[in-house]
Amino acid sequence: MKNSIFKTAYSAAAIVIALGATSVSAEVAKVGFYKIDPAHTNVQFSVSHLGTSNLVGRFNKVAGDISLKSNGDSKVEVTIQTNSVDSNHQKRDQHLRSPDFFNARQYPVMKFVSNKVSHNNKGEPVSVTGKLSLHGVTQDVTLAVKPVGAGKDPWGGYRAGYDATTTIKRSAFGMNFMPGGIGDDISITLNIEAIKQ
Amino acid sequence: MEALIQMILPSVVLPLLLSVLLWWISRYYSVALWALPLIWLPSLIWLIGWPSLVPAEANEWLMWLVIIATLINFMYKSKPRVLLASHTFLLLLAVIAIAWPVMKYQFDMTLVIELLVVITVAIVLYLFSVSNLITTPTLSMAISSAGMGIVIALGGSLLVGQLAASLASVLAVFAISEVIRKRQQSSLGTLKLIPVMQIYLAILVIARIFAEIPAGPSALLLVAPLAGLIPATRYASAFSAVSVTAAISWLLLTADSSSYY
Repeated sequence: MKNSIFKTAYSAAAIVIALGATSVSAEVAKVGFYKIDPAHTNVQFSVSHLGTSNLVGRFNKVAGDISLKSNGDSKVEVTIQTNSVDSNHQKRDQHLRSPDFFNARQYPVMKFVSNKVSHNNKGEPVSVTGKLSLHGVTQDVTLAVKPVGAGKDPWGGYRAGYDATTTIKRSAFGMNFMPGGIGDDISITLNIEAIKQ
Repeated sequence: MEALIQMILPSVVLPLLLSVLLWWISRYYSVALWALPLIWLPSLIWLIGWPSLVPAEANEWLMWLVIIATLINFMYKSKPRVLLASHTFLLLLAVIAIAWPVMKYQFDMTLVIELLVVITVAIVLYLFSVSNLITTPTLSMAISSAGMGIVIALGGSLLVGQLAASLASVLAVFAISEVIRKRQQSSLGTLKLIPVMQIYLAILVIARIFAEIPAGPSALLLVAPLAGLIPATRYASAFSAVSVTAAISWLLLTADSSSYY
């Protein structure tokens, strides 16, 4: 009997959350100032290893702001701690932090600052162009953006989510170590969830 | 295979060839021996690229360190006190420059203490070098540098490990020459090796700070050239070899042994 009550309550809660989630994904994000939610944001990279496979890693410390405006004057700023690189292998992470790659103690952050955000006719951002500073080098980078959803969360806040992808050449940022073994093209994916302030 | 060749060319082949060339020239013009540290520069430039005039990264300071240390050595070779003070001051500046990117974000007292220990060891090394009493200093430095290359490559950074390996390769021919001469007075002499010691200590500091080489193996690598220089015996180099072997063993026993490279 007791179990049955708990099951009913659990199912009801699941339905409420699911309904909430449905409403979140239905609309175009409202204009305003958003802060990136690190707990629901993922920055992932993929690089060829010896030409035989693609190695995937991520950065665990990310922060940033999104200023969403209707007139196309939106701004995005993302900061990533390079020492939070995580490739699911402790020894490799140490190597990635070393001067061979990110040189994380010399260059502790990589930063992206947008200078142009393009919107579709619904007012959703579809591409972001800006400056990426990494390993002491700043280069222009364009990210393709796919809006995922926006809406009220179950706690009364307002959230918006975006997936953004780009490919950079590590050699363009002065990361030239082992060009034969490790690919030059790095695919980057950002799965961002931001909370309206 | 191609990747392996790319690693060996700048860290072993090029410095060895230049070392043989300098050794051959020095048979006719002994003054050329003062240029020994400079033949390490092509390897450095091959590995890290042409350094900026105002260095942005720790590795880039090494070029200026080598050039200035060689000049100091040549200018003050007959003034031991000035030589000693100048080299110590130069290493102090180099160490501060190398550590600055880290220290400017967060002051780290442990790091400061470690750097002071490095400077203290350097002063002892230079004092013994000025006395020029040691019979196999080049062999000792070559063993220490080779060991440091292995430790850094296994422990944190292939690039910094290659810098140390190329230093060992530069010294290799002269070290063999020392052994063949049956440990008579080295043709190089410890005085000419002071800039090499500067490079050695600077690479060690870079490895400790930026490649996260653990404190234990780093301490043994710091002691390695010292161990080879202090006891003025025929077996001085063996002390370096023991320190280096202990550093490699320590790293292998304590570090993650799963295959990575």
